[in-house]
Amino acid sequence: MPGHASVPHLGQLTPYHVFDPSGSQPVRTMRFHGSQRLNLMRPTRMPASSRRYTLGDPVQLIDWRAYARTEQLVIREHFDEASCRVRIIIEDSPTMNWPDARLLKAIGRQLCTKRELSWRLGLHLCYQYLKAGDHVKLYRLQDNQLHQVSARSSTELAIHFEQLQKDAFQNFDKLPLEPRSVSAVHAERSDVLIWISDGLNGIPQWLLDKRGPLTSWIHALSSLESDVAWMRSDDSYFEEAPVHREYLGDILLEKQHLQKGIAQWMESMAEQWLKVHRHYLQVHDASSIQRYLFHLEQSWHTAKAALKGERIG
Amino acid sequence: MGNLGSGPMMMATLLTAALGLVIWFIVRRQKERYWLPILRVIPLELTVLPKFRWIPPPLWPLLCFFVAATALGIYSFRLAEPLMKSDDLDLRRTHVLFDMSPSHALGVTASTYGGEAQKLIDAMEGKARLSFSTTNDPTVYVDADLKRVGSIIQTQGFHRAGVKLGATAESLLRKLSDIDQLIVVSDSDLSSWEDFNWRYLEKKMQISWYPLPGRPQTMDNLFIDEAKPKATGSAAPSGLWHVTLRRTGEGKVIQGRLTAEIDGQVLIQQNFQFEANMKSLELEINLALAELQKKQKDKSTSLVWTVTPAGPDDLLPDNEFRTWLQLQNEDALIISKPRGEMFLEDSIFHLKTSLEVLGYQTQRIDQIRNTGSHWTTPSLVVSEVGPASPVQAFCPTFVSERSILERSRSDALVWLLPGEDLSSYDDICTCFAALAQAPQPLSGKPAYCENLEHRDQYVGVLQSIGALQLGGEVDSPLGALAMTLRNKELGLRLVGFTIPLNPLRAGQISYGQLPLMLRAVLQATGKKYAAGADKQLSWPRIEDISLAYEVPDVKVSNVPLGESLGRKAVPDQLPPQMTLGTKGLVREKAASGTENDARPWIYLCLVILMIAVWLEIIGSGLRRLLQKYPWAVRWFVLLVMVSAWPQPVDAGVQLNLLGYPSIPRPSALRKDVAGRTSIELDEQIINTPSLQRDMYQQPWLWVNRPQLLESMNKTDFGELTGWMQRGGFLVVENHNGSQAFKQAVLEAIPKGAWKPIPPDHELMRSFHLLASLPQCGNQVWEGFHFDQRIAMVLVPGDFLRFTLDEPGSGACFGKYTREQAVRVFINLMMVALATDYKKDQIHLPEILKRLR
Repeated sequence: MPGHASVPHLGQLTPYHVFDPSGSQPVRTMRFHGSQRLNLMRPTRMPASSRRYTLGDPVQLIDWRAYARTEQLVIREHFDEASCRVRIIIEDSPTMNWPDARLLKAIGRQLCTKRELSWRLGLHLCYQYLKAGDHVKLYRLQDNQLHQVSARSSTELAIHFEQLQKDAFQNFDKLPLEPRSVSAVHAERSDVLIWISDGLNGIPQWLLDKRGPLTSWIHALSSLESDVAWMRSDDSYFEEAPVHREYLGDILLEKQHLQKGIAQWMESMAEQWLKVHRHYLQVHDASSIQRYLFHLEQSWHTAKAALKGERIG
Repeated sequence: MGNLGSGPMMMATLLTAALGLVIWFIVRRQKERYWLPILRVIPLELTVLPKFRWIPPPLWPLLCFFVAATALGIYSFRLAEPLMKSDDLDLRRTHVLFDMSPSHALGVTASTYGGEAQKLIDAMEGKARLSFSTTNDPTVYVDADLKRVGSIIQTQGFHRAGVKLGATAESLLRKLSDIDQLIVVSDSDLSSWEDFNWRYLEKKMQISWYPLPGRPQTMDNLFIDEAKPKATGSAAPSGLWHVTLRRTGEGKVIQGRLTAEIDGQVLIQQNFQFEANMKSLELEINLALAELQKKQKDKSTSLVWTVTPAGPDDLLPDNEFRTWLQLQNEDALIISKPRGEMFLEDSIFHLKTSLEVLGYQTQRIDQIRNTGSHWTTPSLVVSEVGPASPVQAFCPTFVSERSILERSRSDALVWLLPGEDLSSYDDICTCFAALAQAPQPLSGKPAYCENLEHRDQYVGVLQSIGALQLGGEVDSPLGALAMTLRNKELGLRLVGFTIPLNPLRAGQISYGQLPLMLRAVLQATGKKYAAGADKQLSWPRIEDISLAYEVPDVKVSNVPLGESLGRKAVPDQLPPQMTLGTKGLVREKAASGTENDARPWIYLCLVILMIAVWLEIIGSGLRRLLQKYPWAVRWFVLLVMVSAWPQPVDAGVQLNLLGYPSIPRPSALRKDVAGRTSIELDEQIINTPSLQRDMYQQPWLWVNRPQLLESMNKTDFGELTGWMQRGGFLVVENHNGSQAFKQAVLEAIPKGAWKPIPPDHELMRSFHLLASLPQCGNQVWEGFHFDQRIAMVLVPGDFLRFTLDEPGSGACFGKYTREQAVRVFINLMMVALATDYKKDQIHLPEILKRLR
């Protein structure tokens, strides 16, 4: 992958990569903390809160005096921030433990697994939200069972991260995990819910049913899945579930069957998610950290950009 | 091709196939499989199995594979064919041919033969549908006769006529077209086998040779080759006979007795002795004349010659030899009416005399009177047709009554002469026509023989009924002396003369010419005139019995020469051998059909396969290595370049020495030679006490003393001079001026000449420009010049050892330095390698410049 080694990629993501969960707001009040931006819907004279009127904005916010002076419709908004409830769910299915060491050795690459990627993403978000002063809960979803990673402070989370990184994200025994019932988590109120998964086992129905202000899916894939140029035509590739299928690389790559199939699947996944929710982000381990962070800061909170879902390749 | 030869071939094929499987398995195992979980969500509408698609294969491996597979396929099937046919003889129609030719009598009696035959038939019985026949008669025996094979063979015994197995098998196969196997029980006698192209038949059936066990391989056979009366000038029999005895062996003195008998009555017995080195012996036998003359009338009587050696003889049947008892020459019957009392008036008298001169015993009658019980047909009937004589009176139709024996023995000759005063050719034409179409009878006068008044018409008619002209120009029958026609059925040759044979003093045919002319006619019509060695006198020697079953005297035929000589056929000429061992019948040498032998092809295929496999393995291994370690590419390229670096060509000259006391060390000389010229002297020097053949591969040879060559035997010396003539260069040292050696060389190569080496010789110019050659006392260097080059140099003294600075040498060359000797040596070497190239004109200016 070009520039793989030089550009920092998501496989190297640590919790300490700074991002502002609240978006780049020029003014931040110190009275509150938290990442939740509250539109207080109050007129204000602060020039920093001014913006041009766009169709659909409440009329009451228009600064008529300014209009009289300048014949420009200016809106005076007043924002404030609040602490919010953030829930992060990392799916840890067997398919997440891919690409395996044998394959990596055969193709001669050093890549992280999807599991590592998703935990890096999850721990990073968790850490940053904690830093921003939000209430964050981190769950691990494995075989329809939820375990909560206890992380009361960002420091504690940093320790967890260091531990996992030391074990190459293979050993989760040292992580303090507490079982939680799925129904309880369903009922839990949250302002932000982030689901991190590769989607190979489908989207849990309760996630689709869940209506919340901000439910987003970070679709974590491997770079080997988004780009299959590494495949060799002489080798054969198989998958056991749900039925055994095995194809020769030659056959898979012929007429770009596999590439088209993957693209189609990704599209359908995004479509399925965006029918219900607003935020969908597709990343893989070779995605640039900068772009990922930029995307989180810029588009995450602007509804229009997030509507279509994003892919950071 | 039988299963014995094809077994290993099948094994090779199977092994190759197994090797192919192993290779395939390895290749198959090389295909890795990996887990690709995303496949579970991809809606692929692909068949799980790979689709059949055209993938362009790599050219050379494909070609190798294709060639190997095709050849293996073809030859596997071809090899398997005899296996499929199965050699266990089940349900196969087998015919056994017992060769009863006289050469079998060597070491085997008929009863032993019968016993062996019974054994063979018993071993085969039940395994195949059997039939057998012997060469004695054309009968094919089956079923019940199989049990009696021993007694049948014993009863029949060996015949005296020869056998040609090819012709016998051919006539046999006309009767038995559907046999699958033919077993020929025979010895390996060349004369029996030489016409048998069994390889041709092998495409249709299996041919085997079953040799009789216990026969001696070599034979010393004594036999009568020929017996004939001694030729005398006169017609009167002398009673002297020449008998030629021959033997096949050598080295043993054979004594014996020769007996001649008629009807069991011994005429004479004579002792003889074969010396050890004699191959043939001619005996002169004087038979009692009166006794023979008494028997003379009865022509069917034969004279039996028997040779009885004192010791054992290998082959007995040919000790007996028959000849016709015909001491007299051929007889001629002349039918002609007398023309006058005086013989000068009677032209037929001259004809009669001329025939007698040619050795015929003549009898003259006026006309044919009685057609009843007649004499035996004479070999020549001359009938003159006079005017107004009835056809029956002169036409010798009795010749058609000749017996089959007589017909087979020789052609009868009928001459029809037109008389001097013949008015019409009708009768003579009728007679000719009657004899030409005999034995079909001719009734009346044929239409084409009517009104023939002129000779032209007569000739035209003869030509139209198929007669060929005798004499005269080509395609002008009118100029012919006679017209001739052969009646094959009767063994009759008709000669219709077109002119009367009247000798005249001043005519076309003179008295002197007549006998010569008659002789020419006799020779032209296939009859030798009787005085010479005549075939007719010899008793038939039937070479091939299968063509002569109907000949009555086949049983008493003389043994053919080929059988007596007992030459062996080369094993390659013989079909695969079948022997009766402990495990039953075994067919050996099954793969002897070289044109069907697939082994070379199989080996070629295996070699191709092997090369392909190695190329694949080494090639892929190398590729992997180079892929894994990119730095190895550089080393590999370097290695290839180094290995391909041109090696300097070895231009070494070897010193070949003959008869030197020790091997000298040439190190200093080598240095000199290599430093001055582009030639290198080999360090290894070959020194042998006597001449080795491989020395003739080298361009030159040093001989220490001429005595070494003088003491050689003639053959070796001939080889040496032959080598010199082919371009070898001989240096003989220590020459003391003896003329004997020089003379010997001159005798071997008479074209050459000895000359002292002149100062402008190429030897003085070939590399260094020499002023003189080192002399030893009064002896000078001499060269043997041959074919415009110098082939041999006689060097006085121990020159080579002096050149090599060996201790104790060079007493002779005291005033010369070693440097001079090295220069001479180099010049010698140049002459040996390049002869007189310095004599080319192109070198002349340079030589002259340096000489100045």
